[in-house]
Amino acid sequence: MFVSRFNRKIVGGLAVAIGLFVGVSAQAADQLDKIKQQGTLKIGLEGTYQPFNYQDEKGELVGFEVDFGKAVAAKLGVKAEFQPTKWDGILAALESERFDVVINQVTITPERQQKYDFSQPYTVSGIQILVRKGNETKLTKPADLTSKKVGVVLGTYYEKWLKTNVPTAEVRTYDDDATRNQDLRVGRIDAVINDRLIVPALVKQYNGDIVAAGEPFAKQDQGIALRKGNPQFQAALDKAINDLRADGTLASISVKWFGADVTK
Amino acid sequence: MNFHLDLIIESAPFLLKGAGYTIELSVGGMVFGLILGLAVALMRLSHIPVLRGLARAYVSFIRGTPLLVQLFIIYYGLAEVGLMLDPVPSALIGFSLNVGGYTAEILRAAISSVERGQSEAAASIGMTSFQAMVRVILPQAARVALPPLSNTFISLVKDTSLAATIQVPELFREAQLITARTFQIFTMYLSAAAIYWLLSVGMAWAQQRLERQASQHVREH
Repeated sequence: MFVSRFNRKIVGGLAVAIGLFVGVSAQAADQLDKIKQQGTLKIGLEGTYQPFNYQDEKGELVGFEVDFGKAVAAKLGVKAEFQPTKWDGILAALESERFDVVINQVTITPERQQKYDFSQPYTVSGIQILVRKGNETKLTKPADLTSKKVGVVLGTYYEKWLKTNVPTAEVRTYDDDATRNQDLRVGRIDAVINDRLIVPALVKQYNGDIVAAGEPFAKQDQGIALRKGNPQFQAALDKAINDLRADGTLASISVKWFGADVTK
Repeated sequence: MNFHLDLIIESAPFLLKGAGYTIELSVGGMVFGLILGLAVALMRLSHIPVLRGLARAYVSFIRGTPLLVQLFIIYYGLAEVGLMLDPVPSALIGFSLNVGGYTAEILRAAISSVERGQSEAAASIGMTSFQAMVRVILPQAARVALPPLSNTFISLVKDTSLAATIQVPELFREAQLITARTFQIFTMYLSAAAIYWLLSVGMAWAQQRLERQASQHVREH
């Protein structure tokens, strides 16, 4: 069939316009109905963030947030389906409806709240400085990071925190924890800041080459991130977490992975 | 539509700074890659079996492994065994080695495509084989090699975005950093894409001009 150049442009334009329209109108109904209908809660996570979510020796996803995600899904009466995604694209993937929620230690910040909604916090934590063994007495507080090379994962709360609170630090951004930790280990960077909750697993993973320095600081809350405009879904997630607190599930999962209750 | 013109204007200096690295890595990768590629192509055409074998192994490895993996080996892997390179040198080495592998094959084929009679004729008027290569063979091979070479180079412009994963603050990384702050995914990546596209269009234009120049002596009417 003959299609002129001009017509092809119009057809192409129409296709894009229809695509956008469909994309917009699909957001109308509350996500909760859709999840109940499909019978699964699609959960975005990195799958490389020990001890929250990672693959064990058998290649199965395990971790605090995997247990937590399954428990939340069960309370909603559906099955959990995990979709490992790199951190720098994870919130974008949430937005483009690749999954229903992100459960990946997403720290609740005002900037993120403008764009996404959050459940109530399910972990309460703080920031920890990590260094190579031997340096643990040199860099013990944020002020010590001035003019030091500090590694953070791109787009994390820690990147933002560092740029805001220690603008004198030399920030290095990485795509994931493994590459960042590697550069700390070999000495390209002086320190790393992250959630204090990863410390025991990380120290073990690197045979003590990487250690915590000083005390944790800057309290942070982590919640389940969801798309805006789903008040029923948000309420259902909050209720699920309340129920998990009430029946002791949340505390016991926490003790299993951290040896302590870090959920309040 | 989530398209923010004000954000584009605000982030333009950062994107352009990133594009500076993109250009630096592209041009550097091309120049060193081309030199390396020519050397490897000549090794493959040489009469010494060891050189031929080495060249073949190199091309096979470069073409048979992902560029991203090559960059990770150079940046993260070598650091583990004590060779700690900075991000930009690591990326330049990675891209040069990669381009070298591809251009070696292109140049080898192009050189082989020049008729045998040409080098015989050059020899008959007293040229050394080096002179024959530089004055007779390579200029003719260049015409054959140009289109596939510029394909490789245009690919390289886009592949430099992989340097973001080894700490080079190039165009894609700058877009990622701004996206991480503003969450304006569509706007930022579309802007980055536009700049990559412009750079590629510039490359294609330069290729056309070069091609016209190189084939002046055989132009059909």
